[in-house]
Amino acid sequence: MYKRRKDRKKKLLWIGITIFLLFFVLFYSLTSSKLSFIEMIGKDTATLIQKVVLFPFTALNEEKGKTMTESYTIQKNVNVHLEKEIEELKELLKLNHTLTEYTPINAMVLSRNRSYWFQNITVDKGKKDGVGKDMIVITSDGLIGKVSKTSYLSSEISLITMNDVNYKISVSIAGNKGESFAILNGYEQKKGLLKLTGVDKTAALEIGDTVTTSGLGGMYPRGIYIGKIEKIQEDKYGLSKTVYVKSKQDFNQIHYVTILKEKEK
Amino acid sequence: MKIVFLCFSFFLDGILSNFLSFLPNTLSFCTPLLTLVFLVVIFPLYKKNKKKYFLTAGILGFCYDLFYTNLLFFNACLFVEIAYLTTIFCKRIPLNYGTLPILLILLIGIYHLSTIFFLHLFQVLNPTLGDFFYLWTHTIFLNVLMGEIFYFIFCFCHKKYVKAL
Repeated sequence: MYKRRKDRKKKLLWIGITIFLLFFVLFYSLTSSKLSFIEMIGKDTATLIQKVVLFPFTALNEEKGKTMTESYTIQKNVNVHLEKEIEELKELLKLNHTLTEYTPINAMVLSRNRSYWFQNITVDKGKKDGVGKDMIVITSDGLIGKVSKTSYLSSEISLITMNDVNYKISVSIAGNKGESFAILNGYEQKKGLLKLTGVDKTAALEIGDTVTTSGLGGMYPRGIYIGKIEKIQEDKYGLSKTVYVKSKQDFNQIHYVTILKEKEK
Repeated sequence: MKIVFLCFSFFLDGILSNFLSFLPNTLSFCTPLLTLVFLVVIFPLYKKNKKKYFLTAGILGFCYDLFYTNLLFFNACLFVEIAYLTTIFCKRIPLNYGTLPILLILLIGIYHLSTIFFLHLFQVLNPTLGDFFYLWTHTIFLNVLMGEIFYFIFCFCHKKYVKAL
């Protein structure tokens, strides 16, 4: 009788430890933003295998890749003279982040996070190529996200379509009647529209106005194209506006991206 | 044959979701979860060695995380949970063409529900029940169909499998 009770206690203890470990592992898995050394080795091995297995399929998309080098040029939208002019203005205005300060790193998308809840993609460039955390990622159609994790051979990119409460981007809306500012922090999955909040109710906005990064906050340089306004809605209390933006980028069909690496000063 | 099918379903999962138009966030009715389906279908081969089955589920889940989700150990835990539930279900009801779809629908639902539960618990995202039903209904069709195909192939080609049923 005593032995049976002891066995039961032991079993309960093991169940308790297992549940605790399980919750710890799941918590770590969902919240960690850095890859450990072992994870990095595993991820790099997976990247190599994936490159081999997916080769026939990525080769099919090679045509699209030819335009990838154009993406940065389009975004940068400067020529030599303009670049000089920008440098002078930067010095005059003491600006820190403009698009001319970045070097492009072109990368191919290896896989997309299979989980419906996470809007991440994995690309084939990592620390080896100079990719680092929080670097900005664009395509020829505009801003798509930022680098969230890096390993030696690959990197994970969090897309702007991610509905993470901590993922916010300061944006600027350029309309006919002036410039307004807002925060991009959401995505209407079913309609495929990016959500801007915190827009002043007095801001004169129109459908079709262009949305770009504002450069505020220091992370994203000013002027990266995001999309055009598709819908404007007033909030319940009429205090602010919520704006829905249509991006030119089809977020389901991203095959090549450009990572912007800040030039060393 | 088991290994060949395992690799086939594992990589097909990735190919279908990355290179064809039915991607996770557009969610057509053909969103694949073939690795999970395969794990359920092969259970009869592990009927006598459940520890090995759980180990296979864990390794498969870990590889799934490495290749497709970047959430290391998350799916490893969920796959073991699904494997455990499969053993419980199969203890009571035998696996056949009629019970397999029911089991798959149930387990896919539990898989999504578990994911949502942990996302809520750790305050990562705030999915609603509506999201769950949307996701569940959109992942059933292709996976049940593929489950039946896998089952048919195993019954047809694998003598040990038929015996174990």
